[in-house]
Amino acid sequence: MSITSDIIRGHTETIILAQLAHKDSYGYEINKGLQQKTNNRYEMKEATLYSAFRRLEQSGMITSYWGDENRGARRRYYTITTHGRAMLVQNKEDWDEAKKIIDSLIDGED
Amino acid sequence: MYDELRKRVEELFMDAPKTVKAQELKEELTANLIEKYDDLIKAGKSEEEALKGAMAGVGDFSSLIASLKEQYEPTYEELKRESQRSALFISVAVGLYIFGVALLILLAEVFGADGVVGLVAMLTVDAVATGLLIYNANSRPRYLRKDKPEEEDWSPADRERNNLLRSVKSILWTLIVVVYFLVSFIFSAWAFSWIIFIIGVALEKIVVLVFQLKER
Repeated sequence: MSITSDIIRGHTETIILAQLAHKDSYGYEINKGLQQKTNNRYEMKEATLYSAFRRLEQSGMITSYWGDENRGARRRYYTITTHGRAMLVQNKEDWDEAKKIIDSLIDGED
Repeated sequence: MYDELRKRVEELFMDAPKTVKAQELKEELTANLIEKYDDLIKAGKSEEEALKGAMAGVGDFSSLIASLKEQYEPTYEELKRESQRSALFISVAVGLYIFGVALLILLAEVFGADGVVGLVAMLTVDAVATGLLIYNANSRPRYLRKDKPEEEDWSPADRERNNLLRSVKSILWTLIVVVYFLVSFIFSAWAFSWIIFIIGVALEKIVVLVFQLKER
């Protein structure tokens, strides 16, 4: 994971947007989802996650609201905006393109 | 064991500013950590192990906390709401100024009222409009006043005092204009009533002086 984490880091925001595209969610639930999807090979640090939330919220990609749990601390839920959805589609296209380019550059036989 | 978890979070936020944003971040982190801790306990870990496991995923919060210390940046939604509110206030105020003139003409021409009556009515309407403008300017969050960069370095106390001084000055000048018209009309004293403005300047200087003396 340590080797791939550098590559993944550049896509933190896209990964979060992709999780929120299905349904509203909060920090721990998103992280749990990431672990399940990758068979525990990938999980974000809380600090990374919240920094990304703040950036995304600032740029209008997501909005947030508080849940009404009363076990002492409330959950903060995030919702993807239409702006965020458009960004997700764009980022996916960019990634597909980058994948193709890198594959053709490093898999190619001389 | 939740208490221990909370204590760890408090330690993490020791250097954080005491702002709403920091408080919210703390609450968000606490909620997530408690849930993670519960899951680890359910998975059969001991309390010690669960605490360790929950805290292991926290990562480096220093840059996040440092960013909390920087100037507060409003979200897009807040900015939009604020500017809409402000636009409404200004529109209403401008509308009132125009209404004041309309009222003056209406009273004088249609109802044949005395000039003073119309003028007093207009100035009353104008006073409300001016009040709205002053309230709008002073209740706006600081981040929206980008046009006054010289205020950036002031401490909150300085800023409050300057806002107060500005309000007092605005009210003073509105009153001076009202008095000028009233005195001029009632006593037909147009020839020398301009002296009120000179007195006004003196009054303003006195107000500023009082503020400065209080500072010492």
